[in-house]
Amino acid sequence: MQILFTFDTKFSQFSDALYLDDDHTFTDVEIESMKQERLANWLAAVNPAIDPTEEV
Amino acid sequence: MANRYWVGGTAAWDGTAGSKWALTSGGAGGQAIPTSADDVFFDASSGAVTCTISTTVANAKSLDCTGFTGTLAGTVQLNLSGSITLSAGMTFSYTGDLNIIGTGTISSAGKTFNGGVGVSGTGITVTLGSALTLGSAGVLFNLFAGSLDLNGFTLTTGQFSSNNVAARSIAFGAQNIVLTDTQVNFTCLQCASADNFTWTGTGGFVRNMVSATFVSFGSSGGGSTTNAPNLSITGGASTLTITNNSWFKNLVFTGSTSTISNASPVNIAGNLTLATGGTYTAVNPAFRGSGTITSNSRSLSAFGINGTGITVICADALTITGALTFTLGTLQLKNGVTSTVGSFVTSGTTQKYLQSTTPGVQATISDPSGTDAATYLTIQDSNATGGAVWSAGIGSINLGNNTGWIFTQAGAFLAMF
Repeated sequence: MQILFTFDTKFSQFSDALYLDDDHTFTDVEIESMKQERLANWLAAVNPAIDPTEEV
Repeated sequence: MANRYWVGGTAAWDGTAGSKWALTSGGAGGQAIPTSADDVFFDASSGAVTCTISTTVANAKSLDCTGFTGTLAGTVQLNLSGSITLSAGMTFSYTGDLNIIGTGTISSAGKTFNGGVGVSGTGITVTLGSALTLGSAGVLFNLFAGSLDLNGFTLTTGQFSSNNVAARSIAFGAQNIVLTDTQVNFTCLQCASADNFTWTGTGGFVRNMVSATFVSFGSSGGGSTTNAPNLSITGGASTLTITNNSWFKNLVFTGSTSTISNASPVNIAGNLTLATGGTYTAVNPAFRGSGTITSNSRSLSAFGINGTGITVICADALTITGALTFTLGTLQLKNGVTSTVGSFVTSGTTQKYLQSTTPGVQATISDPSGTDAATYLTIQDSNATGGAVWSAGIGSINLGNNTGWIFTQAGAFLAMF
């Protein structure tokens, strides 16, 4: 299954997708953590000086 | 055409087939090394091993790493005629160039590509299956030939190049290509030759100014009002150099305190928005399409309007330290504020139109000294002031509600009845 997600940041919008097995056992919290990890990695690429915890 | 499954343990993807490749998942090895006609799979049965593309160029039709928990490494080019699918559980330390020569999809599973990615096939379309991020230290996405479809996802790359004359296109949709190069004074947008380049959508290129960089689009040819891309500078303080004669549709600075260098001229086919903290005194925008300029109290070195039937609207006061050169089109100055120019110059014998953003309400234009001699200029709702002599000469028309202008041609006034 594909889970689309988008974050609006001050640098640009970031749009990505997670691909999980249809019978996956991840919780919503774990899936949200995956999304946040993708966002943090992207923010580090866009602005290496940014604090990943900074509100964007 | 066949399937090739990696069963070679930790080893090199090279010309020695040995027992590395099987026809089925976890099957018996000994099959020939993949060719550009073969679909290649790394899966759970491949094991937590490392396959390294290290000695000879690797070829495959497609590469599918679904379920793979090992590492794909190496520094040598990989040619794909189709799709590449990475998996979240694998390690992707490969730093070679990925060269895509056939229609396919790139699904990165959040892995960063630290080698370049090239799209090089006449008539092919490469589609993103998820966000794609390339490394920031000079890593290049090169759209050499073919089409790139962002498909709703963000493409992030150190540099982007599409600098040739082959047919190329980008379907942005609403998404952007984010340019992240951290090298100083390299060119993060390399499209000097924009011949046969087209794009669709509302997105464009985005740059946070973490280091000084250059951008170029159509500066050596091929740029036009129909293919000029959007460029947004969303933050940072480093110098941006726009190669002379580049083209952009909407050139938007937000949150950036950068100094913009060497943009003389930069062709604008849409809107120009300056950031309050930036320095634009070397910027000479030449409007070639209709749009709005928002200056935010920033000064420009010069300013041109040169497009048949276009209208350029000033959202606030315009400040030009040099010449405002008016060749074709309509300029609507913001009423209720004073726009300032170093000089006001008209060019050509085609009628041009100077107006206020609010009909019936004057907009003020000021020049502290000299003579501003306009020709073939239709003027309405304009207050010309500041100390200069404002002369509306041959071919000029007074449409009313003007002050400060000297209409030197008898019968220049046309009442609006």
